[in-house]
Amino acid sequence: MNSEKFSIVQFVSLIGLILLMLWTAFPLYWVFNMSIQTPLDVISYPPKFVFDATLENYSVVLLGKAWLGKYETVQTDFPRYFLNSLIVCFGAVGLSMLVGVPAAYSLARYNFRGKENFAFTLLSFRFAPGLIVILPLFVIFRRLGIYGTYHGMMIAYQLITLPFSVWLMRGFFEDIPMELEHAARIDGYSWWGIFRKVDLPLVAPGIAATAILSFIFAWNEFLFGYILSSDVTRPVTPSLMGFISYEQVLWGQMAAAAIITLLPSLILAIFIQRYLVRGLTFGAVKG
Amino acid sequence: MASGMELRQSFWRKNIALLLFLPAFLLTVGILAPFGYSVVMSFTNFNLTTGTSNFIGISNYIKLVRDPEFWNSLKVTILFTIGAVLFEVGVGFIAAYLLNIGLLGQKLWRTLFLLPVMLPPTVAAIMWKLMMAPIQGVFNYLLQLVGLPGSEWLGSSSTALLSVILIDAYVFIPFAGMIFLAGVQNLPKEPYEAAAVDGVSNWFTFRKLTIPLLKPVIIIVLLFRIMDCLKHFDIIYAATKGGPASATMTLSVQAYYHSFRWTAMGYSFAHLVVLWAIVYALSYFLVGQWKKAVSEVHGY
Repeated sequence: MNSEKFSIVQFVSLIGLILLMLWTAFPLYWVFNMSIQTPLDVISYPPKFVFDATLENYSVVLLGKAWLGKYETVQTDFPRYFLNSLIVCFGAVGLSMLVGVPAAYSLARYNFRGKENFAFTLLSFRFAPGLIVILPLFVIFRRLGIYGTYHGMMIAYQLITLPFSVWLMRGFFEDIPMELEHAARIDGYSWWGIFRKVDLPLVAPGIAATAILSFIFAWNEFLFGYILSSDVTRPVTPSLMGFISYEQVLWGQMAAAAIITLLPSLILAIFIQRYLVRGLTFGAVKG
Repeated sequence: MASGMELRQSFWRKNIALLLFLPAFLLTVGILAPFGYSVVMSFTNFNLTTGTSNFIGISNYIKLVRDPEFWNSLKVTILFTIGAVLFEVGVGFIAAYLLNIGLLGQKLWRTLFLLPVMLPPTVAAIMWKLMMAPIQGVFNYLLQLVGLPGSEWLGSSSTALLSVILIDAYVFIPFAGMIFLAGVQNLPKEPYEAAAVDGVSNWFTFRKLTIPLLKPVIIIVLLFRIMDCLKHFDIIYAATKGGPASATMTLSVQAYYHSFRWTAMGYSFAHLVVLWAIVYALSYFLVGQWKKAVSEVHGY
């Protein structure tokens, strides 16, 4: 009786897993599908699962080459938006690391007044509505004349990358047993020597994972780039909004642009899979 | 000379914690300044086009309480949050179970499963928008294949909120699922062995053992999902821009319109301050609950 019941449970589980995987994979598959269809195929009904694939959408998006024939294209500056995202995200992550690594170490290793208040303030940024910071920054940046500049955005992006980096790296530093540091101190290492020779090598994978995750969060961010950038410095996620008004004609190009935009995040995510749970919960859950 | 250097060294040693911490602290103050600016400006009639900003006391907040659009956006925000969080936690739990029973290829399924959580949310919104198109979209086609009626999805005010909840769920079910999975994998073995020896039913073990042990993890999922949904902007803005007919007008989107479409910054800040107060109070409460649950389970 038990084995029969067991196999039914297994069968239902298998069906459940297949449905779950379809739910996850189908949208990705379908949008990729659309991205390699011609304008005629992409708006045909019923939708085409089999067709002659074309890379035209990608070349239009990346090179700004127009469709021949009756379908037009908007001239996008997609490669520049992509480059903008790279510049802003690298800058933002770099600044966060520069400032965040020492702060995380300090929070993990020393006790001082107001430490936990500071940590909670950082955490509360994670939950604050972005606009409450972005709108004042919009006004302030315009007055200071740094509205629409790369460095202005890098500073603004700290709201996303800094709390995350500090919290996550604090956890990584706390994972290193104090005994190791004590042993090194007895061996005559200075503070800087201990940090460099003992802590840093042990925490390096964690720092790398933190940097990559911050980069993904910055890359995925929409609102900051949408409001604080100019036409010249616009990052890639807000630039996608430009395709929407033309969606009737440009489905294939939108799909191609979406695929290009999501690739960096997806590829990086696969590399740091084992840190994802920890990263997404600010170190609260150790995966 | 030597004493001067010693002095410097001891100063460095004494204050090292604070010195290491200082840059991050300054940056944090830099972030807090705009917060303060928002709060102050919510008491003014600051307007982006005219540039006026006079102190008008709590007029913005009085206007807010009397504004049916504010109440609508609060309702939409709460409905969106409840719908999305229930959906994501429910399916996330089932997913964690399915990915933990050791079916063939488990590692690959886990990797595939977590991918959407790393998608830029705006990209996910655009992807689903393309698929949810009422006439040529693939969803209505697939529904029709299995004999179900199609839907207007994002295009109708009766289904738009449900549609954006679906998109949010697509991105964040993996978040809930992954964390539950990590929680399940970190469960201690001993209590389960004891329960098996006692011959307790599976359901009883689940209710009396698994759920209490998973409490910290469940609270973390709730904390992150509730906060993100309350302040939600990007998926909804990219999918519907708050429409049709304000059916998906969350507080954040509403505040955005007040500042950029109507340039009424002061009024917009009042919205955001209210939203922030809600979010801050709730997160403070949930973080407290989480700490309590952790100390109950792990005893520290």
